[in-house]
Amino acid sequence: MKTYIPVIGLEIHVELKTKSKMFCQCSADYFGAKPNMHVCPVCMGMPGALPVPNKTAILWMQMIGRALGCKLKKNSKFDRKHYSYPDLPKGYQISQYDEPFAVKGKVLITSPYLKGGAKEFHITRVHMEEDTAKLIHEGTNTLVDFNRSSVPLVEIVTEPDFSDADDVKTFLEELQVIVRYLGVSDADMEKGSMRLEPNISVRVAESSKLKDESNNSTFTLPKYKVEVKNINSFKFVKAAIEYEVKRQIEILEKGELPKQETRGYDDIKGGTYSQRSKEEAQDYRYFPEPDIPPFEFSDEYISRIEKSLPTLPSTRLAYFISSYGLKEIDAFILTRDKKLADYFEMVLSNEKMKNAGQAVANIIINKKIATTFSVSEFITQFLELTKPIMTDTVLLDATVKAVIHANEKAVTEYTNGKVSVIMFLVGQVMKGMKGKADPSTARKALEEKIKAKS
Amino acid sequence: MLGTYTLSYGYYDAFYKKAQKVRTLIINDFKRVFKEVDFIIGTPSPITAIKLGDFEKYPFFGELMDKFNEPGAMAGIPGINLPVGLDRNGLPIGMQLMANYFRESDLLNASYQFEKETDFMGVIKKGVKNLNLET
Repeated sequence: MKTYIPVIGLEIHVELKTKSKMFCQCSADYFGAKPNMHVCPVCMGMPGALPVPNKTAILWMQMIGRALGCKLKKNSKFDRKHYSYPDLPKGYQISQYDEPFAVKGKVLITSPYLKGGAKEFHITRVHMEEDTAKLIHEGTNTLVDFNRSSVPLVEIVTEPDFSDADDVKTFLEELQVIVRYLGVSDADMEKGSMRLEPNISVRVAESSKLKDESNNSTFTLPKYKVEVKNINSFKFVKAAIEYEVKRQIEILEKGELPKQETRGYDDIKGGTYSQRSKEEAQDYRYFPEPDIPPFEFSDEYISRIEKSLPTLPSTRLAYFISSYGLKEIDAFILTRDKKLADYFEMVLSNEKMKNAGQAVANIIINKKIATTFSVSEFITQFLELTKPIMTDTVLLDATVKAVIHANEKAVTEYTNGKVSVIMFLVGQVMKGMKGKADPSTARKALEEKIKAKS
Repeated sequence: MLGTYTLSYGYYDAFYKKAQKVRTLIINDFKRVFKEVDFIIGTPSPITAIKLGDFEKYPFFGELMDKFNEPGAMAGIPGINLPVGLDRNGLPIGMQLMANYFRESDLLNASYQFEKETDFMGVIKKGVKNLNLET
């Protein structure tokens, strides 16, 4: 019985939310805008128009690279990638070929949703390019909207480290959180500001032993790979990958090799379909972009980027667990959003809130107090909510007596050693006091009275 | 078409990359010469003006006419073209002056001096008159 293991590498595109486009001053904010309103000769690819690189876009791309543990290159350049398509006005895309801004990184992800708790994934490269225009199909017509043309796009390429659709989803979610922490993109799959193209192959396990699947560096890569496009949401990630892996295994079982090609995911029909095959593969005729001089970054500029990064989600997660004593799942939830994590820490920094970490976490996660309140208002409400209840001792005394009298059997079980019964009795006292009692006070009173009786 | 061909798979090294290397040789050649001289004088085009429409007689007309301008353009050094006189048929003859990188002001100075020393504007006026271009 052969064991098949998926070999998956990811190409992820992240659209930056800079004010202006990558090579011109047009607004980069295209979502929902009237078509062809944010255009100029540069992003329309008109003859004679020259590109001017967006400094902020490059900086933000380098921040992403550094946050993914990459080495930021001192020397880099843009290249032209040539192909003909209606959404590519110049007939080439300004991209990066052999000298990207960032290379060789790695991300250690800790997550309660990862098998084994933590896993390291390797990044091949991170580079900068421009987005294409948007094609809108209306019946037999296709319309072109250039608002999106030349919007800054960051491409992240991972090593084929993934053997599992769940790992891919976890990685993508972590990447989304990291990019949002940096404040450089919304990384929203539904809106197209984060796009996934997994490259999927399947290999036959090389030994009968169940090897640690994350150690993918020791196997031979399959002689083909299939690129899958059009995965527009997190929920489609798992479905698309599982369909494709299954399809490839069926071919391999027949003793054939799956065709190296690009396939599109169809969420309606629920599968992948062929788009382009190797025979029609493009020759991109790369050469250095002659209109943009090559880059040389100072050591000082590069070290400044490192220093400017915020504390990343995985680091914060570990800190929340160790310093605030939170359960992993709660620390994970609080660190998914930087503003929420910041808010939590501001609340906890108040001197009245020492050791209240887990309690605050519970209240925030269960939405008992809204985080839209100011930190001081939150603290006030928190202290009010967790104030120990002043117990009416007279009423307590009477209620305890009544409960003991009405629950002889339970009291007997308790005195005979079944200690857990006390919780039932406490509940009865609370009921009798209509909740206006501090449970630990009630419990103590019960224990004393029962002891006194016996 | 030539660009697409020379960048195509398998040809990049033989053509594009090779051409980039040749360009470096041209750059180095100028660098060497400008150690010894301030200006290089030459002719900007191989011929004087031809009759309208006559270019069709010559394949590669554009490439031939550009011959003397391309080395300077390849190297990225500044140059200037000046009218110097007329040939037997009254057609204009030009001169090009090339200088090292960032020596544009020297080029303009030399051109101005040349214009003052020679009957610069007179030559042009004569040419215009000879060819009955005045209306």
